[in-house]
Amino acid sequence: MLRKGLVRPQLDDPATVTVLGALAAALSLVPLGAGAVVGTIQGLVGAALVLLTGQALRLALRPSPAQDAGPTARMERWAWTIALSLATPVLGAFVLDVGPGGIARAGWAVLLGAVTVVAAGVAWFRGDRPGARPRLRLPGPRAVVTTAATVVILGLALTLGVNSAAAVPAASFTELSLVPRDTDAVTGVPVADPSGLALVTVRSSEDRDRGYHLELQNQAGVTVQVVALQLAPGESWEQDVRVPVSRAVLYRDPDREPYRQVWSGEP
Amino acid sequence: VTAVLAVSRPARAIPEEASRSLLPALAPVVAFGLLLVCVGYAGGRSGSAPAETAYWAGQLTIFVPVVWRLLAIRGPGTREEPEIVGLVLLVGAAYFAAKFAYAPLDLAFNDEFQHWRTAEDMLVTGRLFDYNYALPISPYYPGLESVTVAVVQLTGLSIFYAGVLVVGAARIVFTAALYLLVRRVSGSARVAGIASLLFTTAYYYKSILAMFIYTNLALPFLVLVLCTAVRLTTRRPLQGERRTWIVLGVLVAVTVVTHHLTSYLLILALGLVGVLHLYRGQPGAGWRLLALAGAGVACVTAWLVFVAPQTIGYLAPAATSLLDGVREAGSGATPTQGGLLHTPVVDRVMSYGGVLAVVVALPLAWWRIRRTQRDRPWALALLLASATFYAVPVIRLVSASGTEHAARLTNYVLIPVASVLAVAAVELLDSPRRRNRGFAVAVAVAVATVVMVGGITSGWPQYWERLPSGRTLVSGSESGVGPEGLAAGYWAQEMLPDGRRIAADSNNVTLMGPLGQQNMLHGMAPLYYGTQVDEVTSFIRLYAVQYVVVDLRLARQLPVDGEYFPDDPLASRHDRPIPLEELTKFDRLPGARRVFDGGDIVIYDTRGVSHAP
Repeated sequence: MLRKGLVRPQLDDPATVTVLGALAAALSLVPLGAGAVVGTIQGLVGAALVLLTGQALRLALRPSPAQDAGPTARMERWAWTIALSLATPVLGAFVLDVGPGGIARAGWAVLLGAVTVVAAGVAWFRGDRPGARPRLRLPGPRAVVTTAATVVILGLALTLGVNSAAAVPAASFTELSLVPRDTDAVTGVPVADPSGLALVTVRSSEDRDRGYHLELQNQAGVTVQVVALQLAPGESWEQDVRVPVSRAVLYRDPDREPYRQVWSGEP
Repeated sequence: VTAVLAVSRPARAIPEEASRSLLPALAPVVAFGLLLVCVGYAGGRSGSAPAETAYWAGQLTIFVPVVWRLLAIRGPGTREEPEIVGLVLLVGAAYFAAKFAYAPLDLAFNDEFQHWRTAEDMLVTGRLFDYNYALPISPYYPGLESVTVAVVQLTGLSIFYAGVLVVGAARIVFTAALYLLVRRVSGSARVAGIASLLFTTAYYYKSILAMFIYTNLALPFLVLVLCTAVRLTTRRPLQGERRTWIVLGVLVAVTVVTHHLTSYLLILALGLVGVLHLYRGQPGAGWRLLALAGAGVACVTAWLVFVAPQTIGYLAPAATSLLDGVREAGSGATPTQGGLLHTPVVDRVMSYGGVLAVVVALPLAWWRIRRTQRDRPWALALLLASATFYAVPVIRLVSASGTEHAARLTNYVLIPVASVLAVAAVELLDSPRRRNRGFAVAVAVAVATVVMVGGITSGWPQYWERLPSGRTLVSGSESGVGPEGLAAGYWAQEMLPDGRRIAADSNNVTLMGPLGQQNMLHGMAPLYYGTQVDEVTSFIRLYAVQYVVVDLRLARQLPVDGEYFPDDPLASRHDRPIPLEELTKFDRLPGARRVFDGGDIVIYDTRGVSHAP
């Protein structure tokens, strides 16, 4: 039995899709700034633009029955909207790739916005209009209870899945590296006149702030420089060193044993 | 779930009987099954003992009630169609959610990292076709990455979460398209529902088919093309035929630029159905389908010639390995590669049981439906295509990567197999001479459950990581991905030029290639097993090895998959970890520079040994 209720948004109306598509494309072109709320809005607008493209193309190409209200037809229409939403960027990437701006946010906004407006416009000019305005059917109490139960259980399941993965103790470690600058970092071509320069890097992935002592040694194992470091998790420190430094030994405070060691000369 | 329930509500024209839908009752049950699976995952991460029990209970809870319901319905299920559609979507969503819960924070599978690299390069350079050392063919089939990059750039999500959305959307399209294809071919909602559910028993359905991998975008388009092509074979004049051709052309093009093998199989399928239409005296439909297949051939040829000629070289080794294995087995020799499964006894029993059930059921199904379906070209095509299932056990036994190739084959083969078995099951259960229908339904449910369990035990993840681990396992695929390996991979990307020739163990090959953009060498095991300086030096020079990655955890753990390195000559023969001295010997190797020390992972620059630049 149908119940009277809220008016269903007319996403089968080409005019509505045109307006929403143009709006989503315009908003995607505007730099909205940072922040969680703005990020969420940006995410929703972007996702809507992708989906509206598929919806507009479905209205223009009509690969599925237009007005049939059966569950199969409804599922088919949704499947086509999603499929065409996926297909458009697949082919659109080739267009953006040959354009001057390349594959970038603005390019997608313009391309998907244009496809949406043109496709919905084709459907509109053809005279396609949605039928009688359907109304949202409010579910009965039984459906509300079972839907609520399903949503709650599903939510519990996914929360458990995510939280148990996040709760796995992270490994606690620090990286030390000593990389001679004897090749071009981009091309990999050996540098013609190596100056004996090397880059020492310490990167902390420890579970808390840590203090370190870094000893830089020459080929004979004599310490030529000692650096005291304090790094928070995720922080790194780096410095260029020159010959005669060819070895770096890292001590993690208060340990007296070497924690990490690297060398660029003969062992 | 709400959408599913909304979809399932009876439409105006449907009689009152259809409101006795079990969907409202089964939806929470399926969700509870998912919860049990997630309890199993949480137990696996924390090392709790009953985790495996919870996992299996969850898998059975998702599958058994639904398959029972679909088999128990009488007739074609037209009145129950809202419920059937709801159940099919629900189960597809539940399995996708279960895969997400397995690795909900980041990518974890080798192939996913390879496609991540292609997407990352597109984001960084803003261009297609950058070189990908981990999977060189990937940039030439950029469909999945293109959509994902669009979502990343428009929404601000990471590649991982954008990929989840894209593959999830593709899963919805696939589920709907498969249902619609079988619905149109069989004319029965119940057959379509059962076939859709049986497809979920495919070896990779619950894992790899829900990952960030290019097949998973192409496969839905393959099924959607077939589903739409059914309309081209209708006897009555087709409304909007020109538009249908446009849509089909777009979908074929999308499939071609997204995944090589899937596009070839699509062309084969269209060709087969077209020929069968000609054979059955329906030339109009037959030529239409052959024209579509011809358009597909033109697209593929153009793509191979002008964009991705390296595809042939990429696919050739797999085909060669398979043919060599078949030839070897045909000559009576014991295959040197492939062979029987090396899994726990219960897993083996269920794996072989699942294959055996289908192997036995298929001829019975063919016999059962031979008279009712033989004049229908689409059904006949499914029937013929289902025979390729017999290649699955053969490939498993003779191919170098038998289990993997067989599992990949089921991604496609199970479409016709599930359809044929579903038609036969409905005919068998609805036979007017059928007595004791309840018992017959119970037997059918039991067989389907064996196939489902066999699909899990034969599929992915492997048994040692069916539940996610709370620690990094040596040679452990998803459970081999840990923060230290990831950090070393990113270090290589930042500090080393692209494409250096690097030796590493299995775990680090998986990460260093895609994350580090390095040329990971295979067959490097002798470098690690060798104990003499001269021997190691000669090996490094012979293969021009520029960097060597040493993971000291190899001296503490046995490899869970039997081999420490790709192409490990001692595979499955390790009875103790590698001695620590064999790993630390590089500290004393003349000319080797120890350039990275991350604790467990150490990287040596061996250009001074190999004299490679």
